[in-house]
Amino acid sequence: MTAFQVELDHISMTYQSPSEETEAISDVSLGLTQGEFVSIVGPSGCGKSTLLDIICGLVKPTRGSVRLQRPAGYMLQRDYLLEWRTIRQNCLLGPELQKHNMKEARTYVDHLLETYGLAEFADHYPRQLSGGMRQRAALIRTLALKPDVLLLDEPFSALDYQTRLAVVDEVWTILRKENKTVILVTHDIAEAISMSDRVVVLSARPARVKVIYQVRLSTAGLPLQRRQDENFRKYFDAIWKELDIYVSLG
Amino acid sequence: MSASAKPSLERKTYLQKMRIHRVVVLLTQLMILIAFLLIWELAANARFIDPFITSQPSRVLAAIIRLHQDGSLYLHVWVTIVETFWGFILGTGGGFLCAVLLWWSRFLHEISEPYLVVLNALPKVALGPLLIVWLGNGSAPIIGMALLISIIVTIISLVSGFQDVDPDKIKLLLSFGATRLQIFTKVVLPSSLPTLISTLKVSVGLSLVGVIMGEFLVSKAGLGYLIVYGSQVFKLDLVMLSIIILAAMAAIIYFGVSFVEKKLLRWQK
Repeated sequence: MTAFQVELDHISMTYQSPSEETEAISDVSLGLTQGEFVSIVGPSGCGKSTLLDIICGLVKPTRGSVRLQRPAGYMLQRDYLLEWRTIRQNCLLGPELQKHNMKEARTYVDHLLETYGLAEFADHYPRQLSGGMRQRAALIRTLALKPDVLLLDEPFSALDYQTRLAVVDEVWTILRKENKTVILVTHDIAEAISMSDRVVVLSARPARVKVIYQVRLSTAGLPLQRRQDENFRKYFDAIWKELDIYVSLG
Repeated sequence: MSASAKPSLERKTYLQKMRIHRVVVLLTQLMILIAFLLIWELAANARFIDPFITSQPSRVLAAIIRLHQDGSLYLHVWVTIVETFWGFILGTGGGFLCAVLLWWSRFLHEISEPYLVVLNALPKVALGPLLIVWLGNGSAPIIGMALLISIIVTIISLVSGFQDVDPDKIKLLLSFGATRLQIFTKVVLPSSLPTLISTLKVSVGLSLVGVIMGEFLVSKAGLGYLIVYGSQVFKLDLVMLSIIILAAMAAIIYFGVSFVEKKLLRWQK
């Protein structure tokens, strides 16, 4: 066995409904090593989010298996901070549900809030925070359980463009610093290239692995700076072509 | 932030305006009430209306004082309050438990749906005679009526409130490995708090309706009894007095629930 930290072994998924049978995912295999950042892009509705649900263990695949250290941290499209809990209480949700030692969890969460600039908002309610801060709080909530693996399902799509660029840099920095293994699902090609070590392109439904790009940029640094790299455009064009998106101007 | 600093002139004028507006609204509301009572009283005195069938404020006041002196006022009010309380507790409590059960088991919910729809549409007062036969002629059939009237609406609106919770919030909890009980207590119940409170508002009012209806059918005391008795012996003072006390009770209940609402939904403000 190789030292993959996350391993998808021939995953297939078929949905049943009264009217028809839908094949959403067809024979997807993938392996991630410790600390790797992999993005998954694909045409909309191709089953990217379903794949993430399967990896997280929320949905059982029809065929195939997933191997990883559970629970994996899951970040959704919106922050889903619970409005009636303070930021600290929101961040402590995972340890609370897992019935961990709350004193230790609180110390750790306070440390994370302190490190990532939310300490003074710990006792605020979510509605008092900006979109970017809320997403950061959602990330800390995910990190509170100290998962080895993080699954991000378009976690920036609800943010406006400028906030989004800033939050991408923030989240990326945090994940690198904590040395997490990350799978990011996104429809934003530029975001995928700027953040990842590898980009997996899925086909239209049923989703198959079409091609995997190893991203090699000479520019080190934050995702925003990586976007300036001379090779960035090349990856972008190649992936764009692979995605086969036809825009009809009828 | 700006409130702690020295308020600007514009802000002061604005606040002043708001205060005046509130006072004007309150005064107008009071004036309408006073005018209504005054016209009623004067019209009865001038015999534009017959006080024998419409009563009049001064007579109602006299009746209140009379019932206060012989103590029966408190007996009737107390009986109605106690019956409403139990009808409300049983109807809302039972409704809540049923709603939790139906949220828990999709199967049960699917099965019970047509029954709930029919029971909801059925005029509960039609069951009154049955209740009397089954539960006797004490307080039991009256409480039963209050319970019947409030429980079905409570179940239906609570279940739909529980099911309205954002499925992604539940997904988030599942990703943390939450159990079904944890999902209910940590997300479903707190997110349904606004629904819960609006249901409380409706069901407490319905309990009062059920109690009065029950007292119309069978009772020896209570405001509903007083209304029926008063109309039968043509003592309209008694009827009007009971209605006024009922209105006051409804108001107290409303403000009570609003108070609870403010306490529970502090995070919304």
